Order: sequence, then structure tokens, then C-alpha cells
Amino acid sequence: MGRPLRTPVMVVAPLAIVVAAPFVVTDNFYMHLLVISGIFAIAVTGLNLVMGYSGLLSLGHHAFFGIGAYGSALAQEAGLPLLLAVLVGTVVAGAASLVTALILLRLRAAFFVIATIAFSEIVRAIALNWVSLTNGPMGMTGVAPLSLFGIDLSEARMAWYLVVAALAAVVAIVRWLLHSPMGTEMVAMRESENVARSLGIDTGQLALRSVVIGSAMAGLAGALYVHYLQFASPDVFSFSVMITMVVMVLGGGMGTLLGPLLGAVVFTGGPELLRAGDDYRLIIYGVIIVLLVRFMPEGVWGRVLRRLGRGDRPVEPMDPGADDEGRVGLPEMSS
Amino acid sequence: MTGQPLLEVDGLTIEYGGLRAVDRASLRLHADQVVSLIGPNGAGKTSLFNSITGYVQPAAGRVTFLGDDITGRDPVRIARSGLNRTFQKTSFFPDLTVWGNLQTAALEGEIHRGSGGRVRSVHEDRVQARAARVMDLVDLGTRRDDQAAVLPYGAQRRLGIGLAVAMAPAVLLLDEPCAGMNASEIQELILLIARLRETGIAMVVVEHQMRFVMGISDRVMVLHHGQMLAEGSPAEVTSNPAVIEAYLGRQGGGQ
Repeated sequence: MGRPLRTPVMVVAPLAIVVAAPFVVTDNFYMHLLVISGIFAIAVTGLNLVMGYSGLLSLGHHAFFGIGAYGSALAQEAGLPLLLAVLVGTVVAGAASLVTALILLRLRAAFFVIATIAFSEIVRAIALNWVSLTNGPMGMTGVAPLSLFGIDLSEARMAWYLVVAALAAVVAIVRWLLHSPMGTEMVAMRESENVARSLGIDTGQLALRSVVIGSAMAGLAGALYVHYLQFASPDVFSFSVMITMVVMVLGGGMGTLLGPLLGAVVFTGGPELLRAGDDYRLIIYGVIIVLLVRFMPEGVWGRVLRRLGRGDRPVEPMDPGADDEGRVGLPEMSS
Repeated sequence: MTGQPLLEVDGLTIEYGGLRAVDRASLRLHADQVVSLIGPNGAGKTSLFNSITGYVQPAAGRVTFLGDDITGRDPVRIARSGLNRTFQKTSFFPDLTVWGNLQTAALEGEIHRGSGGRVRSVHEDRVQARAARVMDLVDLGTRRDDQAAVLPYGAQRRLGIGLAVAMAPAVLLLDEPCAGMNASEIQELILLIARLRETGIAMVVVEHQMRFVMGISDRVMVLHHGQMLAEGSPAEVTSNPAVIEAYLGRQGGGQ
């Protein structure tokens, strides 16, 4: 179901921005923020696949980001070349999500959400307490910097190109999935699991695939993050990272391809730009989020698409409590 | 009616904890037939549907479809085998357009699967053609780009039926297709059922609306407190004293 790109502008313009960014943004700190935005954009593109397209509210996504980070750091420490270490981080995150999802996807709506939080806390406890492996609360220092075929990419303006290339690959994968039968089935599952199953859509299998692919993307982002910062900190497992990711998806536009990317930029840079507000920074940030959810529930990009009347329909935030179908839903039982 | 039935339910019993919702119910549906299942609320009609389509495991009994024992089989496998259903409440994807809904169902109907349910091939133009055909059949061509959630009630019901029809079922189970419809919408639905019959789909319909039941059914079965109370032609059932007492009311004629 491929859709031709509407105009070459859609390819040329982003490419030009990407190439020009390190030359235009001369301040190192802002360049650093852009790299972090790009890394988070990869992670939340995965989260958007799970949450926005498949309709599964997982609040354990940051755990896979952290598993990818530690996985890659440990693999590299064990002597693997950087590219292979990043791959190991990605695969380990995907594999961990497979095992977790096999257990947790049996649960219904709100229980699934709570179980994903519990899972991420378990992983955090392991990272903090298995000192011989992870160095505990001190984190792992001396993680190898980003490089590619011998080229040093440790500086933000060089890392930028690698991160954007990875992001482009991840977005292309999601776009391809969305235009495959799997994409159609994911949206069907999000809309109504019962109706989807009544049409022969194996929602159990579908949810599993979507979680594994989305989590592997989080793992890739975590791996890039750890090598970019050259430091693995157990802070990546903290729940605030998860909240940030959810805000990025919701604020940008859940269930749209580009919304979460925009969200990643706005909600990485925004809090930093608010530093001028000093003590009031987090309060202002909080108020902005509340206003956004209240008045623009479809997110910034979602609003733009709606205004343009485009078919890439965003979805409004789900309320797990109101989901009467649950994960493994039963049809209406009244007779 | 001669020949093997398409769908045969034999002594099906459904229990929820200590409550026996359906007690040894049996049903036979032959090719080209429309059988209606009536009975008061709580009689076990939807439970019976849920059990036939694999959503609820029966405590006892057997369901045979096209000669296969499908008792307790996974709903997804049952849906893929040509036994499809609608639900009492939402039977469509509310956030998608009419066309998006029908395309999704047509895609599922056209997918050729290999072992383990893996997608082997799907022909895009056949999906489009099938969706267009069903859209005509359920008469939603003028609503093609409308979001399903904002459609009038009758159109939503027809869309729900359309999704199941796009799976090209041999047997279709409709759960209260008339619920909440006005008289003209019911009339449209009677015509739709007639069109579906012409395409060779046999149906079991759970419905309270007696005018509708009379208009579409070859046979009517009455379920009461989980048990089959009566079975026969519409005329036979509506004149059955036990049915009048239990369900239709002393005046007869229903709602």
C-alpha cells in the first residue's frame, strides 16, 4: 500500500535542514540538545508504534531504552566494536520486551499498564543493585564514544548525522509497517480489539510484534545515548524519563508519523529554554503540558494535520480506565 | 431441508461460575437459510453467539461448522474459516472512515495465509474491489469518507454488517442488528438481509424486533432461561402459547 512521496520538497527540505543544522547552530549546547532530541525521537517513534498505532499503553518503554543503553555499554566493554555493541543493545532490548510482553500482554487494560511500570522498576532495581555488572548507582564511566568506520563522532555536530541517519531508518521502518497489512491491523486493534479479532486479526501476535519492534527502537536510542554521553547512568530507568517520552508522543501528536519527532524536539529543548524561569521552570512546564492536553489533545502535529484535513488521523489520549475491552477482550456478555 | 447443515450446535451448555446461562441448546443452519433466535433479555442468546464464535468456552456440547468440530477454537481461527459475526454494541472501527473500515475488513478477507497464519500474499486491487463491492451492498457509497463514529445509527449498523460480509462468510451471525433503529432503517435492513441471502450467505440473527424477525426468517427459535422453548416457522412460533406466555406477551405481536 505504498504511497508515493507527494513532492520532492518532502525529501529535499528535511535533508537540507539536517545537513545545514550543525552549520547554523553554532552554540555547542544547542547542538547537544538537538542530538538528544534526535535520540529521543528514535525512542518515541517506537513508543508511538506501541501506543499511538497499536493502542497499548505501556509505561515500561524507558526500561527498554535503559536496557539498550546498558546492553550496548556492556557489550562494548566486553570488547565488541561499537557498531556491533549498539546492535547488541538493540537486540537485547527487543528480546527482553518479547519475554516481558509474553507475560504482560495476558493482562487487561489497567493491569497491563501497572504491570509495565512494575517491570521497569524491577529493571531499575537490578541496575542499581547488581553492582558487579552495572557499577550500581555510580553508573558506568568510560563508555566508548560514538564512531563509525574509524571516524570520531563524539562531538555533537558529528554525532548529529549518525543520530539523524538512525532516526530516518527507524521512521522509514514504521512508515513501511504502516503501509503493510500489519499497519492496517494495528490500527484496527487500536480501534477495537474485539472487532479486529472478529475479522480474523490475531491481536495477540500483533501486539507482541508491535511491542518488540517498538522496544528494539527504544533499545537503539538507549545505545546511541550511552555512547554519546560516554556514561551509563541508572537514571535512564527513572519514571520521569517515561513521563517525558509520553509527553513527547502526546504533545507532538500520537498516531502520526512526524508528531512524536516534533514532540521530542519541543520537550527536550523546552525545559532547557525555560531555565531562565529558574525555580518556576518545572511549574511553567507543567502548566504548558496541562494546557496542551486540555486544548490540543491531538498534539501539535495532530492539530496541523487535522487543519489540513489529512487522512493521517491522530488519536486522542486514551483513558485506560475507560477501556472496557482490555487487552484480551471479551465481547459484550449481556444476552 | 436436506443435506448437511452448514452450522450445527449440539447440546451447548454455557456456565458463568454457578450460573447456567445456556442449557443444552441445539441449532441447525442449512445453506441459504436465515434462522432467528429470539427470547427475553438474559435468555442466553448472546452467550450462545459468543460460544459458537469461540469467545466463551462452553461447559458442554459441540459446535460443527462446515463439517469441522470447532468447539472452543480460538475466535481468530473461527473468523478466518468463514464463520463471522457482528456485536451488539460497536461492530466497526469508530475513528476510521467508512472506506477505511471496509478496506481493513476487505484486506483481512483477501489475505492468503500460510502455516501459522503468516501473510503469504495479498492483492491490493482485489482488496479495493472487494471493499467497493461491499460498500455498494450495504449502501454506504454516499458516506464513503465519513468517519464511522459520526454516522447515523442505521448506517453504523450496516457498516458493522459490511465488515463481517467483507470476510466473505459462509455463515453470518448478527447480534441485534435492529437495536436502536427507527422504522425506515429497519425496512432498509430487511432489504439488506435479502440482498445478503442472494449472495449465498446463511445467517443466524439474534433480534427482539418482531416485524424484522417475521420479515427475514425461515425458522425462528425461542430461547428462554437458557433453554430452547420452541422452534418452527415464524407463524408457528408466534402462535405457540408457551412462547406468547414467556416472551411475546398476551397480546402477541411483540414490540
